[in-house]
Amino acid sequence: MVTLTKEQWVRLYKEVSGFAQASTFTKDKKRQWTARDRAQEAVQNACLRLLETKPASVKTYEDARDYLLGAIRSSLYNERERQQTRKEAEKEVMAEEVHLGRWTTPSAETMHLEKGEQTRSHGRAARIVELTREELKGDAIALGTMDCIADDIDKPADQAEKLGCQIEEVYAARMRRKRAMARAIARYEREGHAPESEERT
Amino acid sequence: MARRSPEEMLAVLEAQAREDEAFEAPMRELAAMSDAQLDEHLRGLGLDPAQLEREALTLFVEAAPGEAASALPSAVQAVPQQAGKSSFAGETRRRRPLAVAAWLAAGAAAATAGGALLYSLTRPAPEQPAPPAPSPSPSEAPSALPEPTLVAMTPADERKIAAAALDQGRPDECLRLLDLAKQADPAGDVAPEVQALRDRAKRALKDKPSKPHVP
Repeated sequence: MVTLTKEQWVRLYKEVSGFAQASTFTKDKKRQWTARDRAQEAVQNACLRLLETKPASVKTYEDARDYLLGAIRSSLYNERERQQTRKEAEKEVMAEEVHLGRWTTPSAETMHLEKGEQTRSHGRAARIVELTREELKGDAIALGTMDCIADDIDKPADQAEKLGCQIEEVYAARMRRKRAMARAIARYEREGHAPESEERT
Repeated sequence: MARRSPEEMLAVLEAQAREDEAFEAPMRELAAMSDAQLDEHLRGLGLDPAQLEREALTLFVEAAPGEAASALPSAVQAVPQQAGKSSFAGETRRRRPLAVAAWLAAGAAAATAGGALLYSLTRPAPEQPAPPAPSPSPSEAPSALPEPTLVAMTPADERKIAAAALDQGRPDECLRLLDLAKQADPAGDVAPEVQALRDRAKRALKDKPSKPHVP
């Protein structure tokens, strides 16, 4: 596992403490103390977990920060809350789709145009996924999460079980994957493809 | 198990990236702060930087992992510090007595205030300087943070928004976004149109009249 100086550990601890406090912030004065407790408990549990498990994937200061963020996230937002949020978001999207009339039958011309767009969209998606995998070369956990998603395994807990690692490592790998994806999209655009928003117009 | 198509997979990856970005954005702001700025920010959140430093040293430098759990008091200010053998989960459950103490303190404060009011009504008050403006409540500090970016923007998107910002007369915002895009995509920054946009923004920033000084 990573070796940091005293100053770096202090800085890291302060950063994640500030982050956790801001994440649990509530304007409800009655719940502020509970929120602060939850935050500090999450930080300290995350640090203890890092020290106890010494994950091999934590090799740099940034890796340690990603790991702690993953652990805090796992602790603060349990799966039930996330599922509830997802259900609400899906309901909202569905309501919006119906409101905007997207669920009516399209005309033949629209269907033809959509077919062409689907072909382009397929090529774009395949290339970006491929480039993202290239960017993540050597990162077994992050690549593993992509395989899991391809196999319809989206939940971090299920991915961790399949990959034989900790859930904190899955969250940290997601952060690396996000950055890799941004680089992949930039590469895709440099290959001469227009950004997605322009392709659709 | 069903294999997803590339579009479906990309949709899930993008959705998770947006979720992760929303989560990570505040962390990036903290990471960009200097040590002094970070300490100030922590104080605003009701945390004691010195206490956090002690906790970090106890946790990572001095104590073995097995001992670390019991050596961790909370850095949250105004919480009684009890270094005990209990686990941290136990430590955090001791908030109820605080409510009783808070009520007692509030009662004492009300009695003092009542006495002060009676005194001020019965005695002519001398000229008092205006009280200083109240400092913002620590609990409100996080609301001062800028909104996290909810969507992971590509460098191309950032450059488009930068151009729009310049058109709206915000060259500083334009330059900031161009710098952000440059970090993710350095090669794209050398494109002539991007360089031209950067030059225009710099010129506009130079020409921008400074705010008139109000005496």
